[in-house]
Parts: sequence; structure tokens; C-alpha cells
Amino acid sequence: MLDNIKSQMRKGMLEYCILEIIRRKESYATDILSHLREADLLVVEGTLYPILTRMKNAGLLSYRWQESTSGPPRKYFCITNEGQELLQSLEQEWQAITESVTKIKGL
Amino acid sequence: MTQTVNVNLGGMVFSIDENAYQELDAYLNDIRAHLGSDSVQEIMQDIEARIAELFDQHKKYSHMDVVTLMMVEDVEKQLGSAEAIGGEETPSNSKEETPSNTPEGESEEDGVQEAEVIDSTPHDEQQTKQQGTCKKKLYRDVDNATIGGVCAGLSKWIGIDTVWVRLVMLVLLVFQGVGVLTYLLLWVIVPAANTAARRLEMRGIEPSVDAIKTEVESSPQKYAYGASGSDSGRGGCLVASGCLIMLALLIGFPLLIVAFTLLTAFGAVSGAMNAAFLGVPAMLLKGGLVSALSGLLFILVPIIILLVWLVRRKDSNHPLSKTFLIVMLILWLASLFGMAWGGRNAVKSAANVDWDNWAERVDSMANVLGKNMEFVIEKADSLGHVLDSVNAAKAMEKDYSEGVLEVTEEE
Repeated sequence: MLDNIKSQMRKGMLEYCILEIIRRKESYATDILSHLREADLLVVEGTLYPILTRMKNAGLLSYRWQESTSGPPRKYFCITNEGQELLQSLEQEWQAITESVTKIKGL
Repeated sequence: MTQTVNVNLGGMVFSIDENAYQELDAYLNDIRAHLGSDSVQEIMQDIEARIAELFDQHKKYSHMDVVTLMMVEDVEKQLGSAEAIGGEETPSNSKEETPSNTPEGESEEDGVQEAEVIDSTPHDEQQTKQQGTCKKKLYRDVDNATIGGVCAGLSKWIGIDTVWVRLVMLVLLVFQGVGVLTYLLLWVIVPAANTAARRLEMRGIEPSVDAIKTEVESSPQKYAYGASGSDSGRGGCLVASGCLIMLALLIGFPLLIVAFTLLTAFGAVSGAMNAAFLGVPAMLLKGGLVSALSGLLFILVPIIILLVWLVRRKDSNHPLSKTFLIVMLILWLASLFGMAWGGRNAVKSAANVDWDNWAERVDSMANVLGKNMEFVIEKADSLGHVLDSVNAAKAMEKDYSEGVLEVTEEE
């Protein structure tokens, strides 16, 4: 039960954070993974890939291939205008949520 | 000593231990089965690229050339279970049933036990008892297919033995060429049950994560990497479709030509009758032309669909669009309606004809024709005379040049 609620909360935030990471700098999956790991936001790596593909298909991200000196070619993602817009509204939503939570706590 | 296998992950080649290969293969297949139907290929590519990256790093640090089972298990831990990647959260009990965190040996034993349980009772019943049911969906049962799996799929959908559906199809084929068209249309329109979820839906089982897991484990050869249903099924399908096209050409084509000729003849006759008795504008309204055009459409639509499908099917990412098929189906149905309506009206207008008047008209037409014939004969006669005199003149000229004429003149 507790695990389920926690993972639901993290899930909702994950897409917001991924967008934010890509907005700052064009990056490929492993860059994003290391950022998420630093922020302690990652449960397992595999979940990232369906999310990236979904966001790309939704037009929030675009990508280009880049050869790598070590390992297979990398898919570098960058944010589209649509993604920027969504990110802004997500930011507002996040603000609203934290405000709501602090209000409830202050009661 | 262990045997190794070469695998291609994200464009890089790795030597991998046999047992590690089997583990990795099962893991990838599990993920594939858990992902939704859209862009599976792309996500799998990304995940394989990541695995390649991890193996590559590991190789550099450890200076080991071969990927071992331990490395595969580490990668699995890092990437997470197929369920987590699929993202389809299942209701509470899933974790008790599927020990994703237990060591490999144990979970393998579990798999064997499950398979045995399933084999001991009829497959379908066992699964329906375990899993939730959903509305059956019509798919082509490519696993039990003779040609394209249309009959097998239909029988699953209706819930009767495949033999009966095949018999009906054969009867349709023998008595009417329409059987071929029906089969071809169904083959093109109905999707193949080539994923675990579709196979479950075909049997009326809710394609939940657990159901898919059981399905994949119960017949691992279907979902094995490389020899997966899509690949081998496609090869088989190609041969089968080649045979069917030959059959359709041999049986269907003459039938189509006969049907087309009859329809056109019927349309032309009724149109001509209408034109003779009601005038040309009335012909357009009264069925002759409509039935002829409908007949043409009725035959052209399946041919167009077949041709487009033959061209497009190699490109598995862009199958025939639904809109195209729906438009074609509507056209085809409209042509059926048009033939029925046009034919009926043509017959009706023929029945409404004043037959006395008709006899008179035929008489007068015969008269005109007779007069014309006389005229032609007359003309031919006079032409004959002219030719005769020309020939005579030529003969005279010839005689003269040879001196024969002079002799006759002396006499």
C-alpha cells in the first residue's frame, strides 16, 4: 500500500523532471538517468525508455542520432516548443500543489 | 567449459554464455510482452542500446570478453522488472504470484511447475478460470492457420470447431466464386493474433499482465527471440499467401471474368432496351447504367484492395489504413446495392414496355434496314458494272499491245 502510493507520487513527478533535465541541456538516456539517480528519483532504469518514447510521440521532445566513441549510437533528445509550453504549465501545477500541501499542513 | 553465443545488441556484437543468453532472451521477451502495442520496437531498441552500453562498460572495467549470467542478472536488476518497465500497475496480488526478486533457479522451477499445471488441463479453461474474461475479439489465428488463419480465427470468435467454418468456406468456394473474395477481404481486414495480448483477446481473456505472463510462459517457443511469431509467421504467411494468390488466379479469375461479362451484358442489354423505349436520359435513371457500373465496382474493389495490400504489406509499419478499408467496404456494399437496385429497375422498365408498340417498332426498323440493304445491293451492283468495264478496258489495252487486236480488225 505504502509502496504503491509512493511510486504513484514519483511517477507523476518523473515526467516533469525529465522534461526539466532535457530543457536545460540536450541529453541522451544515460545522462538523464545519472541526473535522476543523483536526485534520488529513480527506482529502476527501464521505466525511462517508454516515457521518453511516449513524450517524443506526443511531440514534446525531438531527437537526433549521434555516434559514440564507446558504445552504440546515442539518441540525443531536446525539448520542442510544445514541450516548453507543457513544462510551464507543469511548473505552475507544481507550485499550486506545494502551496496546497503547505496550507493543509498549516491548518 | 561453456558454450557462447554471438548476439547483436544495438549494433554491437557481444559473445555471451549460453545460459546468460537464455536469461537475457527471456527477459527481453518478457519486456516486449509487457509493453503496450504502440512503438514497442522503438522502446526495445532503446533498451537494447542501453544494455549494450552497460555490457560494453563492464567489459572495459573487468577485461572480460564474454558476457556472463551474473552480468545479465546485474543488468536486469539495474533496468528493473518487465512489469515496472511496462508500467502497467497490477492489483495487489501480482507480486505474490510472480516472484521477480527471487534468485533465478527458483523462478525457473516455478515456470516449469506452471507449465505442467497448464498442460494437465485444457489450456483455455484453465486460463479463463485464472484470469478475468473480456469480450472476444476477431483476430486471424495464425498459429492454427491453414492459409491465413481466417477460418481458425472465425471459429474462435463464434465458439465452434474450426472444421465447420472451413466446410462452410469450402462450400462457398465451390458454389460461388464469392467465397474467394470473402476470404481475401477478411484476410486483409482482420488483424493477425501475433502478440500475446491479441492471442488472449481472441480467446476472450482479459490481457492483464498476469495473463500475458502465463501465456508467454506456457508456450515459450512462440515468443522466443528471433524465431518470434512475427518473423516465422511472416515467412509462413508469405508462402501461404503466394499459394492463395495462385489459387485465386486459377479459380477466381475465370469466375470473375464470367461474372463481369454477364453483368456488363445484362447492364448493356437493359440499358439498350431502356434507350430504345424510354430515351437516353431515362436510361441513366432507370437502372441499366447503374447496374453495369455497380457490377464493375463490385469486381474492382477487391482487386484494388488486394493490389494495394500486396504493395504495402512489406512495410510492416504502415499497414492498410482503416479509412481506406472502410471506404472500400462502403463502395463494395454500395455496388451490391446498386446492382440489386439497377437490375430490378431495368427488369421493371422492361416489363412496363408496350409490347405491341415494340413489335411495330421492330417492324419499322426491319423496314428501314431492308431498304438500306436494297440500296447497298444496288450500289454494289453498279460498282460491279464499273469494275467490269474497267477490266474490259484493261483487257483490250493488253490485247492491243500484243497485236491481237490488229488481227481482228483486219478480219
